[in-house]
Amino acid sequence: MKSTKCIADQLIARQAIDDGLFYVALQTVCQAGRYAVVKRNKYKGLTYEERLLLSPIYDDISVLDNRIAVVLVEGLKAVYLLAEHRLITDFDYSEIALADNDAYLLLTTPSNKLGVLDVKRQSWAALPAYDEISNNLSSEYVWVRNGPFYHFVNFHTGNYYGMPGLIMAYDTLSGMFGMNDSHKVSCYRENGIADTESFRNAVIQHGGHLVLQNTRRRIEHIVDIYGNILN
Amino acid sequence: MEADRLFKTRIVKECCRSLCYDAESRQFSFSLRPCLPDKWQRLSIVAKNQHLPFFTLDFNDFIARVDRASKEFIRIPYIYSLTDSQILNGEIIELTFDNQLAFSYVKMGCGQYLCCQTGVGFTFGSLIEFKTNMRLLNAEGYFLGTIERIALLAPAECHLCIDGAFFGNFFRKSVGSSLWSLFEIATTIVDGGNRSLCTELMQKAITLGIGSLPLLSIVNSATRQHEINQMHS
Repeated sequence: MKSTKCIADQLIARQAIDDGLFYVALQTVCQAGRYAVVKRNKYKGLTYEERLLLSPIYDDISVLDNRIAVVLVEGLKAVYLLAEHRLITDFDYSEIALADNDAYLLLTTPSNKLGVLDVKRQSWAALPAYDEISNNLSSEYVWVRNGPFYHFVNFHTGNYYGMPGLIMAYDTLSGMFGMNDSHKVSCYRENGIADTESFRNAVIQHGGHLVLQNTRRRIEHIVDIYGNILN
Repeated sequence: MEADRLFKTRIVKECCRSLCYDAESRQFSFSLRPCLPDKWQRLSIVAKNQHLPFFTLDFNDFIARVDRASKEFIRIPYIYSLTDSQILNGEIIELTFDNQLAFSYVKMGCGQYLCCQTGVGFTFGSLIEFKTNMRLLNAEGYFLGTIERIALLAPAECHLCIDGAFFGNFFRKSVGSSLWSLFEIATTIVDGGNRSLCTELMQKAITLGIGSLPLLSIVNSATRQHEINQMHS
């Protein structure tokens, strides 16, 4: 794997070579709507209605949808915004994929750390520093795992909430629900303190037994009003 | 469920009977089966194979807790205020009055409570808010005392294991809006000694979505009421 600086140098070198190959016609590799991935020599570029957007200097290009393309150089990927004709990340990622109804991009670093990029706001919802991130990215609070412990991130504000000793977290539309190392489930406040009153109200609202799921881990826990797991 | 609790649930399954009523001691319990040493001998091998730090002393302690499950609970103290709507049916609230006597009440329905020590039902109304230093009156205006302390009595581990062993998927059901039917069946058993109704009692508890602690509290209240009635007659 190469550093971003090395990759930038390499792209400049490839551009210089490509400039000398102006007489070689571009070959269309694949079409994605009005966009086409083209090839000259051994590298790929991108055109929009036959107008060149990206010079053919990349190892690979894939158009994810009408907003985003992923460009690859030396095994590292970066995000390219089609409408703005610019790269919005460095070449730092081994995997880039759309997530949660295409509202977010899930980025994986070569060291397997995960991050989430808000496509609409073009900003980090969660920096690429986590071992695991919830499937349910549209929740008010999204759980993230670092080592054995779970924490939460609010994707709307970008705030991170460190929870002390949570060994499981659940996907819920609102609130932060997790299980501590004593195997007791509760709802947590943003300051990391268990909010027994909110938890009690949530359990009563759900008829006395609250069903909590972690869809990524395929875990379903049914808990009573005291946070005991019953199943 | 964690490995330790799964193993303890297995102990309950193998060492205990389902709910039964002992007319002599006038108590509902999940009574112990005979030949416990033989059962422990087999179970200790299982514990060893599963690398569980569970030894004879732990077994004896756990079995003793299961045997007196109706008196076991985890007290959650220092509650200053609790409204009726914040209490779930089947939850047990312990009120210590200014005369230092403590009574525990199971919530049976909206605003309705059953005293575990006397088997007497009280209607406090759905708007009741239990607060410290509050004069507690029932719906008829009868003064019960001034509340000094409030605590909740939560199920202990032995109850969770009994639930796992005998209560099936009770947690898939919502807690019933009224639990008085359990008290009525228990009263029939205590009065007439028809012990076959214990199975019906268990089925009813599962349907109403409640576990062993509230069930034992309700049915043993019926025995208290029977004792008090007998004393008066």
